[in-house]
Amino acid sequence: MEAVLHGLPAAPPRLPGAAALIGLAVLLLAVVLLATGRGAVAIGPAQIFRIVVHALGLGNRTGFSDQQWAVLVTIRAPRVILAVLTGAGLALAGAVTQGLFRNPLADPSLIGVSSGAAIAAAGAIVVGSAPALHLVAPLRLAVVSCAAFTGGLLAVLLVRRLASREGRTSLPAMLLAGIAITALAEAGIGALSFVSNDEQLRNITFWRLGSLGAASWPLLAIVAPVVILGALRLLRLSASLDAYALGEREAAHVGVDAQRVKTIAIIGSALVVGALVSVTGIIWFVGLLAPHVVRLLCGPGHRLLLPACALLGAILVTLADLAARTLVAPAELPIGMLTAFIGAPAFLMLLRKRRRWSE
Amino acid sequence: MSWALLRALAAGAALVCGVCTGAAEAPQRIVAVGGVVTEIAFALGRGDRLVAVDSTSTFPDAAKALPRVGYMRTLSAEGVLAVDPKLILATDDAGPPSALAQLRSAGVPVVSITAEHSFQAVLAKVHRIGEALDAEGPASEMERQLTVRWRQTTARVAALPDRARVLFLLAHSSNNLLVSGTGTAADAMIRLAGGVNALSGFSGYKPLTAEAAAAAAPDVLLITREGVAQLGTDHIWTQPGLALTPAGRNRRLVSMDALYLLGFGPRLPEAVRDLADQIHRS
Amino acid sequence: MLTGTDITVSVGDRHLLQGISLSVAPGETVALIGENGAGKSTLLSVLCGDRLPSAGSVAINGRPLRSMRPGERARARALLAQEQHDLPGYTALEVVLIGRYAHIACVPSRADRDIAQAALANVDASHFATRLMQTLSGGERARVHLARTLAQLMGADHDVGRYLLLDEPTASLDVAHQHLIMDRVRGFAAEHRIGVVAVLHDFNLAARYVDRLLCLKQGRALALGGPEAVLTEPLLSDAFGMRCTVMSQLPGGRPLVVVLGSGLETV
Repeated sequence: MEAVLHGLPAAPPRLPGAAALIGLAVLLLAVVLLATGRGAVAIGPAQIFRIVVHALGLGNRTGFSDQQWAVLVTIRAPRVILAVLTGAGLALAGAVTQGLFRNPLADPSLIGVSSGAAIAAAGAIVVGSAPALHLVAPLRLAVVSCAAFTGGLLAVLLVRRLASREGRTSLPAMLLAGIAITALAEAGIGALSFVSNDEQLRNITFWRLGSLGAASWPLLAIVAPVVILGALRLLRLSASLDAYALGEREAAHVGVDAQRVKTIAIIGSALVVGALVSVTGIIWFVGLLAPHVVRLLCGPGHRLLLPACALLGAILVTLADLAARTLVAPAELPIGMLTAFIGAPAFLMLLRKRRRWSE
Repeated sequence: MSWALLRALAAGAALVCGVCTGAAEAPQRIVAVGGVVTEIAFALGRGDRLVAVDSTSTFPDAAKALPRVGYMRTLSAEGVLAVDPKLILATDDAGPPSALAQLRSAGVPVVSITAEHSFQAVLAKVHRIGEALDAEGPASEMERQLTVRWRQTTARVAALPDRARVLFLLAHSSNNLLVSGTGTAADAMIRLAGGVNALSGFSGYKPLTAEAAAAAAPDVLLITREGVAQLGTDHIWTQPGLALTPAGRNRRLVSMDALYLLGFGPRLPEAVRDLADQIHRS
Repeated sequence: MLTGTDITVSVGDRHLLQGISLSVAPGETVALIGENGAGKSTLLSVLCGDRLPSAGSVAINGRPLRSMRPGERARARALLAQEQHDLPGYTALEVVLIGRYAHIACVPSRADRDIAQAALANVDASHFATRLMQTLSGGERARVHLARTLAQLMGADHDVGRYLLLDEPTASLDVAHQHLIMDRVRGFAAEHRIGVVAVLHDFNLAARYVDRLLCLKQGRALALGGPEAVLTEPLLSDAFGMRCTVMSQLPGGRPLVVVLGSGLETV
């Protein structure tokens, strides 16, 4: 393909790697401070510092009100931490999926994890509220989360099974199987919505729009280890994903254990996304948008792309959650709706810009 | 010393003690979630202790002046904490559960008030709220009076000659009308008022279908005043299937204020009596 | 040694390759020639380990190729395929560094970068090392991928036999670069003691730069030997269906094939 594009500079206008990562980390810290301080109850940076110091057992209980303490420690801190984990996890899984499928439009939802989680959650909502089961509300929530996580994982395993023969998984077949499973799950959710009563329908819709409102320390204790361990494992795929850019066959020539990389990438993404989706519901676009922006700024090399994506994703979701809980206070906007509203036009703008560089 | 004097002294001491401990215990800065909770709080004379209520708290008028913390099913823990409450009184169906759990972890006690649909439940609500707000005296008095008025209402309903078939409409949005089966507040009110729920094959709310409505053949349509304001009576009668019912042919539509009709609060005896009168008026 | 023994590849009742045996020594350059469909690329894919032969086996340095793990295999042999995917956004240097995958533990080291630069210099591509792949011409991209395969094998002990397999490495190159690349590959093979097997369409180019040629026809080996031995008129007309004359005893000592016309029209 003759594609000599004249007029473009010789070296790509990329940010140097270290600078980008440090810049993103600093930005994340600033955003976290901002998000921790803003909300229905205002808490200044000095008070945040004193509260944290006291919580760690170092300072004494002065300089902040009881109300600020309660809000920060029991509500905002777990929520901001969940936002950081969610953004990092979704963006990382998105970048890994895009690298594996060599398609910048790929998203973990393509391999079925989101729809699998959604239909399992919908089913749990409908079944869990059956009077015969006598499930008390907090237990119902736990049931829905467990169901969502299991459903997401099962869907991915099913998709992988459908696309594998004799121990080798075909990525194009995976995409097709993922699309089919997603369609099936959507039909199932439609059927469940049809037979559900008003309250169940409301819960299903609420869940699908996404929200970080359920964040709490016990919840984080369960979700955080899965997400962090999964993310760390995914980060180590950088070199293999760069090799995958050559195509699966060439990657194998260069020394990549294709089957192993596919397994780790797919299962790892499914675990991270499944754990997050089970707690927050579906949050659109982060997995698609963050990698795109990072590629535009820093190039496609995965050693920089993956950590940068994690940082940028964390920043995006923390900001989105801040907007979700402050724009219409005391009510909250569903965060999935916000990210879709902002993410879709931003994505289209990025697509226009991107064509200059890649085609 | 005579026994009378001793009794008087004891009573006086008790009164003083009661006042002292009452003044020390009386909870301030209360958030009420649920229209009926707010109504009862005001009825017990403790309305001045409320700092905020939810969006369904529309009675009495004084409640409308209070700051709102959102819709009772989609509370935000932080939004509630922003008003610095010391106690939260919430109906059982307030939510989401995670918000209530966060409020409890933040150290604010949350008292759950039953949301059942029966007269006994009303007494229980009054009793519980009276207990929580340190108003046991007024609460007992209210329970007594409620029981008297309830007896009058049930006698009046029992004396009705016939039983009207009633269909309750819930206006979710203008193109999404729901109808009530069994197990809802509307269903309970219809039965208490001596009527028959025209739909009984399912529980909860389901979308209105023309055939189901025609088969149900209600004599009267029941809807809240808010619902009528949202839809308009003309829009209601143009729904497929409704026009073909006896209610549609005779244009029999009964509307009442939502909290009054479905709240199951202190005005229940009057609400049941009013509903019975209106649905059986020929 | 890269040793292919009695390689047979059958698909249904069609034989793509039949009983091919070939041994390549470190430092040696071997060309595979033959017309389209003769089995050249098939043989290369078997030698590379991509394809399992229906019969026969391949061994590198005495170890059966089948038993080697991907990383081990990548350090022993590199393949340059005919077609390459686009790699938008990557620079030429970054693409060459990908070739070092099997050698890099975590991040590319100074040595890896030096090797990548040397590989690019070898294919005359140093001046566009920092250019994005999508800004390069087809020929320039082909050279970058060749550099990648060179980089994959460089840096190891010269005692360890390594093998470079090239599928039409000169297909998209202009004439000057065709000769330059073949000369560089030959020099690379000698310097690093790497065995080279290259599928070449142009038998004159092959004659000029390789030690031995294997000529295939319809899956069978017609001849294996030095240029003088293999490039004879009867063999060439049989293998390629053409009329030609072979000029020998030229300066440089390599035969030159002059094609006179197609041999297909004559009945």
